[in-house]
Amino acid sequence: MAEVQHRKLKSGLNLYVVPYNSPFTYFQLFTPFGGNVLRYRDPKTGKEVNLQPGSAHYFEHVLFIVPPESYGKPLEWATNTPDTCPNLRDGITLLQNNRANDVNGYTSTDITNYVFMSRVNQLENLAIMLQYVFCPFLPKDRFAEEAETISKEAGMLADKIRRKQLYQWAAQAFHQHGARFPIIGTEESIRAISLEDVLSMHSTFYTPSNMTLLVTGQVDMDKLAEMVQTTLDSFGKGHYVQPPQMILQDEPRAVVVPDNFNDPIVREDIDRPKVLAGWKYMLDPTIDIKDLIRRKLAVQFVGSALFGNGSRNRERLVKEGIDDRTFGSGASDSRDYSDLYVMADTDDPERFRKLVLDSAVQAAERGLPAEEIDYARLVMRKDARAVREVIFNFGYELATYGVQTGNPINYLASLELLTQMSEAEINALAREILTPDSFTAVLAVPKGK
Amino acid sequence: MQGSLDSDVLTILRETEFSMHETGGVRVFHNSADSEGDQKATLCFVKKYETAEEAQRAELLIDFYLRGLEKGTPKYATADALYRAFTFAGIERPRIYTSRIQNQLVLAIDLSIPQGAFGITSLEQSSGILEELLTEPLIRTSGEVFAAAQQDEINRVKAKKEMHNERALSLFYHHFFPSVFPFGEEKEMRLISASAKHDLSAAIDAHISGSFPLLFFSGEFSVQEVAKYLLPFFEVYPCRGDRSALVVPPPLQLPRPESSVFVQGPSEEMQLLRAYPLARVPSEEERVALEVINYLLGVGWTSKFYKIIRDKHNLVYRIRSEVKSGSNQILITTGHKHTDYARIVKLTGEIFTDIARGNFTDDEIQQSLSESMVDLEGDIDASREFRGCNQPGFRVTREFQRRITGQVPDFSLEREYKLMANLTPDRLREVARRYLNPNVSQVFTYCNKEGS
Repeated sequence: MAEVQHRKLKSGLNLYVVPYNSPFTYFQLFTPFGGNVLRYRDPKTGKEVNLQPGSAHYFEHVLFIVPPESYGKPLEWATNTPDTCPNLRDGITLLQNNRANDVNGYTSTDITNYVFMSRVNQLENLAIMLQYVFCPFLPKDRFAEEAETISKEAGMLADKIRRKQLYQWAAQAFHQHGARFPIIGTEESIRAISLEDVLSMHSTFYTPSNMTLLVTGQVDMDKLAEMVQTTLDSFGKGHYVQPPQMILQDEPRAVVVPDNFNDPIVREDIDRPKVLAGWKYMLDPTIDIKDLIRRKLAVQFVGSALFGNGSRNRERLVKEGIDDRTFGSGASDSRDYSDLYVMADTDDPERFRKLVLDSAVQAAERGLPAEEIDYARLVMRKDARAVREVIFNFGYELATYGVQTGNPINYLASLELLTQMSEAEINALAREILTPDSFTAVLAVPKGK
Repeated sequence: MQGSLDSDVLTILRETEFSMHETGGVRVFHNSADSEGDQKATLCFVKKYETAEEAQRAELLIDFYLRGLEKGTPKYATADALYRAFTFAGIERPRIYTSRIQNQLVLAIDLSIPQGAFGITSLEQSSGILEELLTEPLIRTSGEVFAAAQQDEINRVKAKKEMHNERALSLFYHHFFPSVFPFGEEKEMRLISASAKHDLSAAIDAHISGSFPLLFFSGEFSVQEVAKYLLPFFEVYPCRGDRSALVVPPPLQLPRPESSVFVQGPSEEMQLLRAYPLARVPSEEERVALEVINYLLGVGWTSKFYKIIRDKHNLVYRIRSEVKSGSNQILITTGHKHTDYARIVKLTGEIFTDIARGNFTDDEIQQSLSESMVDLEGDIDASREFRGCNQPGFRVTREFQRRITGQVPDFSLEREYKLMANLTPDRLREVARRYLNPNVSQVFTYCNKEGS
């Protein structure tokens, strides 16, 4: 692969260009401000500030608002919050009008990311995105209305049983960490988010020194850097501002409760009991980056070797009675934790939990067999190849590593570490990951049964 | 005001075209692609049945059989053993599935083949596994495996109520097109419960032997290499069907609308579908115009539905409309609170009526036209991932939709692009007035409470 380029602008904004063979180029502008951030230290005052759950996501929704052309250009590039404003525009429409192929934004646990795919007009489109991301325009009435749309989104998500179980799992797993709340927030918290909170969030988390522009495709770094710096200067944001200091969340290793079996979720739309269960594995994001990556990879190794498709342990668990059709597993991670989960429909939730936990305890005590680690490695490399095939997925992994490790290129480093990690190292970490007190299970049962 | 032709776009769209060859009784569609990632192939067995009911019966039994393949073979006796075998062979486990349009049923096998020598090795190593999977699965021979697969199927049907929008769509089609979708959940359950393993074997064997074989390929293999490495799959399965199986059935027509239909189901969010039958069947060229009009109506952020129903009135999070060529209608789908039902029906009706009467500005329709043209360059798949037209997966999917299911017009992307470029706002108004009838629509809802 041609060389990855990196440049840090005087504003502190990090620019990365990752070459990729495609007629399309994928632009991502992200901040490490996601659903998990509910406390931060204001860099100006040094005080701790608390946020409502769902704040980062709410903000992502409204940031696309753009004033009408008649509002005047250039604006006073301070945040604008008139009581109302007719004929509002939005960044998505502007980009689509300028031949962007795909435009979106998303908020996850530790990132809010504004993205577009473009074959032509790339730098013009980037200028449009820079405007709406760095210069919020938030008419008060429009801001308030968005709560309704987000409430609809929350309702749509909660209507899906698996999502409901994931929310419950997080509430059972995390004591005080922001992850205990859904990224979208709750019905109450969505409506409690104020415009003042949002403005404060922007000046703190959307300062260029706290953000990264990641370009996957073919673009000239010199032209890119010049254009971005000039644009930021025109907004009055071309100078360096100290980024916020993240507060380590001091989350205990153990979960809050081991299960909800005495008080399960009751649903009309399921026919059999369903269990979603898993381990919470807390990480210290301040350790050496390669150590951090190794720990994250270890979770994937363990998950794949114990419960992934094709693993001998999964095969054994199915023979012992776990429902093959619905038996699934996965791993996900954020900056300061990873989780490993399993799920299945089962008429005997206790037995399901016992089977899963017993196999984990055994793996922790005796170690995963070398053959299974090698198999997991093969699966992970195959998956990495599939990721690279799609510019969108490749870009997504780079951005994820960007917020979790401070540098998107660490994703490429992780692919090397994946090959190098030894059986001994993985098993040592498996003992840390698979502790029974970091495991919790969520049961959902059919109504009336 | 018309769309302008971009020579770069023409170039990349031309690269998506397939050449057709007849080799060893198989019709091969071949495309050369140079991109990151795997080459793609889809092997197809297409058969026409006497009636749609026969086709759906075969579809359900074959799908049962295909899911039963997961139970393994004599050599790879579990789903995990099979998965492991494909992984060691270096290839993604092939996706095997069916796709039905009325009485035309396709059995398809999707292969993802790495590039270079590794790809050839992987293909060679996995072909034996695939052949065993298709010819000697345990579901054919083992009563115990069949019984387990049958219980899985029963559980699968019972679990359909978890997927609210999919279930609503399925119930819609079953209600309004019963001759084409005669198997509702109860009848499907009876079929599954009453079937024996020989019924499944008979269904798939009859399908393959009576089908016409096709292969779609996009990647670095030449036509000769495709013949060498992929056509041998067809030698295992003698097909005696003919090309008449490839003729796409004429579109369905929604019956005369009745008052709105409500089906009770365990969804908190009301799933609403509103169908507007087209006044007549459009030509292939006019389909293109209708797609552009539909963009303005309900595709994405810039559409009327989004701007008015979501952004202005905050009534929904998602809403979209689609031109359904197979049933000659525009179908609007959304989810909302049941208490907002009346407002949603009113607003969708008002917006559709405006569009149907050609009440849109030149700027509005020009925007939709521009977006439609840009969207020829790539698509967003079901996982919300963007695929560029340079990618083999995009190309094979589109060619499959063109040649078999008729989901896209029967011409190249280049031609579609040129047709769009020639459209004018007045022509689009003319098409809207000719095909969109705001006075005829059918509303269907699915929820745990009726709309108010």
